[in-house]
Amino acid sequence: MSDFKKNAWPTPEEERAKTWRHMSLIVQIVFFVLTIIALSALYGFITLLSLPAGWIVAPASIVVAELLIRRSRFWRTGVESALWIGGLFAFIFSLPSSGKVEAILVFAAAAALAGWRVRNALFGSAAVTLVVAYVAAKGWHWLALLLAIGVALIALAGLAREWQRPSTEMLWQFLILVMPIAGYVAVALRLESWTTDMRIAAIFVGLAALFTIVGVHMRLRVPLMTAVLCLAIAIVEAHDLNPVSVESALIVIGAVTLASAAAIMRSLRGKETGFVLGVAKKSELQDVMSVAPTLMPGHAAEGSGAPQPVGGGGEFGGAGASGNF
Amino acid sequence: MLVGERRDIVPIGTELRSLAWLGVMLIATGVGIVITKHFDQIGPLTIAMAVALAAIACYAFAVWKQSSVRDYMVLLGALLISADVGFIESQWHLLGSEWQRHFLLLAVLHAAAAYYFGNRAVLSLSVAALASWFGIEKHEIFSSNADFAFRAFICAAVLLTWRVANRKADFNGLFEHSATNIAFWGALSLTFDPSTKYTGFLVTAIFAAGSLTYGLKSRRELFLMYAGVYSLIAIDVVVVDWIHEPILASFYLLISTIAAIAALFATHVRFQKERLADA
Repeated sequence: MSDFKKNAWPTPEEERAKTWRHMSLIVQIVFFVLTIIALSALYGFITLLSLPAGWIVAPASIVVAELLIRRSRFWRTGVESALWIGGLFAFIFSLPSSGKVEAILVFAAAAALAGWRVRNALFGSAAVTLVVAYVAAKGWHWLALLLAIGVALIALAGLAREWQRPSTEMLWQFLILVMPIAGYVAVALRLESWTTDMRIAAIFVGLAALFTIVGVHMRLRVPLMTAVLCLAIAIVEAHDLNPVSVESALIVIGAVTLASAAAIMRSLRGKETGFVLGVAKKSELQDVMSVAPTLMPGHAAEGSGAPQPVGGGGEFGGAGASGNF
Repeated sequence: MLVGERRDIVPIGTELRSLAWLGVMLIATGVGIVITKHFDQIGPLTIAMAVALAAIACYAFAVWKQSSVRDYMVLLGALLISADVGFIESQWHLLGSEWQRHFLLLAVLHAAAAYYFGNRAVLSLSVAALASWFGIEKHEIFSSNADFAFRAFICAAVLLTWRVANRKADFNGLFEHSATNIAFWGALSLTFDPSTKYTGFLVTAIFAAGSLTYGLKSRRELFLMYAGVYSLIAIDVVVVDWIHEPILASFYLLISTIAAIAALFATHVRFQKERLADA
């Protein structure tokens, strides 16, 4: 029994050393999806038996998750996370729908609870994003933006410190990346027509500058990535000021991005301390991702030209040239 | 303690490569829109020439300049060639009724570039173009309901042959994953078709056995995952269709998924033990 209580979480040292049962990211995704399918089947089965599905699935899945964590030391396998989040969401889905926006807060609470229990940064970020969405859904769009920026700044302060658990650091990283996007979507939704608001563009330029300064000064990668993201948001928001067409802007911005990356890479060549290029790691995930273009529909020579003798695009495959030309 | 005080080395190569990739994608998207929206204003010949020159410039840059973004310039060149070949074929119908063969041309062009520059991203474009050609090309042999499946099997067989002939070890994984997935998609398409359900199930089982054997021999867990997940889908399709009763079907799905999770988990544990033993 004492072991059962003691094994609630891996110690910070165990988490860093990954001594509990864990999987690679791609295997975690497979197990997460399979577990969600199993939970859905259980939910459907109990519903068909005219029993209260939510009241049975939620406790059952959480008990199984706790047994797997505490007895078999499951941690980052995808199974325990799916059981926690799936069980809680199943319970919420079984409740009578009132149609109120406050329902978003219930999902946020479920994501936060599951995120806290399995120390999952993705669930934690989802919880905060849902709170931002709730504030926006109430019509307080500027408040939603301020909230998102506030959380991003707290996360930035959090990331600047050393943490014992990698999962805590991961949560700060996720929040820094997600919050500017959530905040921008929340404030952009206030308008029926999409017009430039220079205040928003200025806020994101300011944020980009702040994240760059902190990233360079503290030697942190994620704030630098967020700075690029904030700059991109500012450019998108300033679309009305764009003197050229969208396609020209895309080409120019793409060329500037490519040239900037090349210039920074060149400046880092041969550096051995501080920011360095490092060695590119090859992972099997890259090979799996390389299959993705094959899934895209192939229509390269179809469209605006004269009708083609053989109609229809391919049923699978693409050549990186998809488009209606 | 502040993080900056203890991190002497911060690698940002992955982030910079992602930035370069993003730049390439933005340019390619912009060019695609220009071709679509403005070909009647600029003129098709001018567009075709300009895009071709831009693609040649990208390749020339990669040949003559040792840059950190060389791979991305090659990728941009390949994407521009794809756009240009597609545009030229849609405008002038050079291949006539065999228009879909421009995919084969793209597959060859991209493969040549991929081998010359040792670029896996361009090779994935070549494989995608090849899959597109197999997905479109029509022959008498493919006029049955199992059309998609046969084309997928032939495509997978070609990719496996290519894998055997390939001498660049870095490219092997791409061929193996593409061939395996395409073959399984073909087998599942047969399984989902009521008239070929059992044939599809049998073919999926054979492919799963092959993927399982290969995964165990080469100690690559993902091929075991492919075998487990694709065969689970095939078995579920056949059994659920056979059961009919919703309550039993949902109960069966629950049990089969749990069994699959347990089996895959046991395999994973075995793999981890072998890895530890090797270490």
